Amino acid sequence: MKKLVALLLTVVLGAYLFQAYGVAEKFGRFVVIMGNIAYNLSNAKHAYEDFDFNISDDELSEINVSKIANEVKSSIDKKKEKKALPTPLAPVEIAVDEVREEEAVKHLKTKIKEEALVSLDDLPDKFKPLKQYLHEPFKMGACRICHTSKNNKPGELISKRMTDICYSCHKTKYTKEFDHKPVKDGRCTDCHDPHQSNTKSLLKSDSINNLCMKCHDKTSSFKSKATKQFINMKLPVKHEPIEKRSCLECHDAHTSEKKFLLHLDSKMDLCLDCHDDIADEVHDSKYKHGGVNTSKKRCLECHDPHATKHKKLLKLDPIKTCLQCHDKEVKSDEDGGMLMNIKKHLDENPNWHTPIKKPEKEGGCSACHAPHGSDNFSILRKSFTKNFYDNFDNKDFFCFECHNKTKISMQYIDAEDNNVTNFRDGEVNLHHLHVNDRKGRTCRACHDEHASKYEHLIRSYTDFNGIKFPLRFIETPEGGSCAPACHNKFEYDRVRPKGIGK
Amino acid sequence: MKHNNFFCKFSLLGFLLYSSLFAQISEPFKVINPIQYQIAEEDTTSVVIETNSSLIDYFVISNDLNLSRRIDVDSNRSHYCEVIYLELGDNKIYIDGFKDGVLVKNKVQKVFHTSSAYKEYKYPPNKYDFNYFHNESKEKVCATCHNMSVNEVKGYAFEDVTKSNCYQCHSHIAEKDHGHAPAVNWLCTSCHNGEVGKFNRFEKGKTRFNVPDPIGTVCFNCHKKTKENWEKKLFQHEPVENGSCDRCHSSHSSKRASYLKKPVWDLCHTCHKIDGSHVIKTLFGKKHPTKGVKDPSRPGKELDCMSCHYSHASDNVSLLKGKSNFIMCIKCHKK
Repeated sequence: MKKLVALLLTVVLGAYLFQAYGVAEKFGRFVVIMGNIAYNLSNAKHAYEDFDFNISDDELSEINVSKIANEVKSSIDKKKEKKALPTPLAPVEIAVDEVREEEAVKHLKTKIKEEALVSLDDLPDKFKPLKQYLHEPFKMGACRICHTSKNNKPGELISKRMTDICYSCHKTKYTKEFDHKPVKDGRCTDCHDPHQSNTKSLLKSDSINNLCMKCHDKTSSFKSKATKQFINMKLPVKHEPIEKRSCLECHDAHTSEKKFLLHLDSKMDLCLDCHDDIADEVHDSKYKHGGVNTSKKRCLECHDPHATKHKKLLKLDPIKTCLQCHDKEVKSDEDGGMLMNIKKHLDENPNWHTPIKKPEKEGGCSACHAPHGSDNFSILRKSFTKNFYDNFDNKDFFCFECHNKTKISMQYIDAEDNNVTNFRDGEVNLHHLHVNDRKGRTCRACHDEHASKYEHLIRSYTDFNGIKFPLRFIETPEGGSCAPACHNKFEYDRVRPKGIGK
Repeated sequence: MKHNNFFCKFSLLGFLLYSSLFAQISEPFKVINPIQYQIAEEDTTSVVIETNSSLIDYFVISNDLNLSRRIDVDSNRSHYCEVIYLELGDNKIYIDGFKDGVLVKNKVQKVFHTSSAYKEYKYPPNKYDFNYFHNESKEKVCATCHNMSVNEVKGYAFEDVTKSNCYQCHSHIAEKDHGHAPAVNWLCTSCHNGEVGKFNRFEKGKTRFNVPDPIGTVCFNCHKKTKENWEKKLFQHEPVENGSCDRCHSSHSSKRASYLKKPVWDLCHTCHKIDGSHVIKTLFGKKHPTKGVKDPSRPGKELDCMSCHYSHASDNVSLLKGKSNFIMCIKCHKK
């Protein structure tokens, strides 16, 4: 009986608990879940991960064909380019020298009548003492080659035309595209002494440079002074080859295929012949400066080949040189956009970036821009960013060449390193706040690299997606405020924190 | 000659008198804006009232939001503008005109404030209609006091925003904490360019400052890169795909970050109604929370839909942030 009651009780209790805790429902759900797991295990491919994108055979072949075709074409093009490369021509002036050597004058004593010879001791007094270099006929005493034998007019020449006399022995004729004016006019003796000289080539001066400057100096009083092409060699900065060697490093004294009697094309090739480091910059850099690359005068747009007042043989001071062209909007070679009118920008905004403010000390525009070409955009000397947002981590921006990187990297600035930056609210470095974020703002978001009407080169307008938003910066003795498009008007104060520094 | 001159003056005076009489309305006041049964998309509307100063001393504008504003009528001025705030859905604006302390005329204007972020207020009842304000005939009324021209320089924001002609009447659209830069800098015409999109073709020419619908065409003018990034992804949220940015974001200013129209969870639930068992339901009926607890994967933030899902585009199904369900779980449930 007791057993029966106990059994009944357990059954009732069991039924009650079964109902109360919803065991049936849970068991049902358990079965469903286990069933689902079993189903998923048996059908191993999960629906979510089974995304494969079938490309039809047609598409595949199309892609491959075009790709292969492109590769083949590019390789053929490369080969063609290699073939098309012009073989370097031998410099022209070598050929000139060769011609001269071939026809170099050889004076044979046997050719001249012996009785006409004058011994060096019998020469008139004006030729004494004898100089280092003597004209061959003069040395032999064969005055008759050039002078008449009649003695009534001493020194009278056999012909009135100088060319007839000189060219009778010196067969080399100067008939290239451009001739030196005295050569063209047959005034050989303007430069050369027919008898003797202390300089090689029987020059009428103690050095080549002085000889040239006799005519090509504007202040010269020489009778056959040049009519144009004056140069001023009295200026402090001189081109090294002229100073250390001579004018003939670049110019030919007699004749040349190139303008200004130069050995190579005056605009660039001649310069880059020596300045091969610049040649790499000009030819191989990713971004080229239109001033050298596409301009009319090439190197000579900015540089004077002889002598100037300014460093690096610049025609004008470092800033003015650049503003010669950049006083208007210029089309950029980089992306075809328009470069800003920097002259107008500088005129309108009184606070200039230090390199522009002190060009002699800090280098002017070329402190940041490489004038011959660079691999960085805007021909900058080092990397920078064009973006409003950019991550500063591991990036070596150009600005930090001069500006201390701790300005932005320190999150809090204690009293000890107070001078790192003034842009802080209490101890919170607001530079760090602006820059080290998911969307780190770049320097150029707030600062103008060239000039601004505000202190600290704070921009008046920041460009965001093509729209210029004013920063509305106001400076106070211990802080300031900004109300740009990015946020509402925020104030900062170094002594009494007003914003985040609280 | 003298006589003639006198006659001229007299006739001119008479004409002026007549015309001024003619210009005044015959009733105490007339409501120019809003029209009866007007739809308002912003949470404000301007009430423009034309009065006849000889028939009315002052009038009171009130609504159900405890607003009551008394405006005295000046005999030199005929038109009065007031900005009032609206609630979602039906709004009644009461305008009562008084003369010598006695009510002479009262009018009730009904305005429906609609919002795409609320299903129940998305579609106004049939009797309501849009009122296009900036067209030639209506602007004439305002032009007597307001400069109705656009004085915005393309590409340059105002140094002093109060100089904007739009600001004079619409200043309230930019007063909330999170202001969209073009709106709070009053570059209105960069979006209100007068063009229409495929969803609002019928609005063409009705107002000078139309915005295309879908609005994406104007949004993506600036947010170009964002769009490009989204397009690279396999899946895009439907409003992103068809450019209906304004379904979730307010274009002028908002109380919330990212100019959201509602808090994230509520915003998602406008369209995506989930039953109790989102994510997982355990054996004992315990649900995985979707809000109201801290989010371990984003310290300092509460759990919401954005904890697991991207809002715009993703390479994963259901716009999930992780490649597989398992990766999603271990974001928070670390060993």
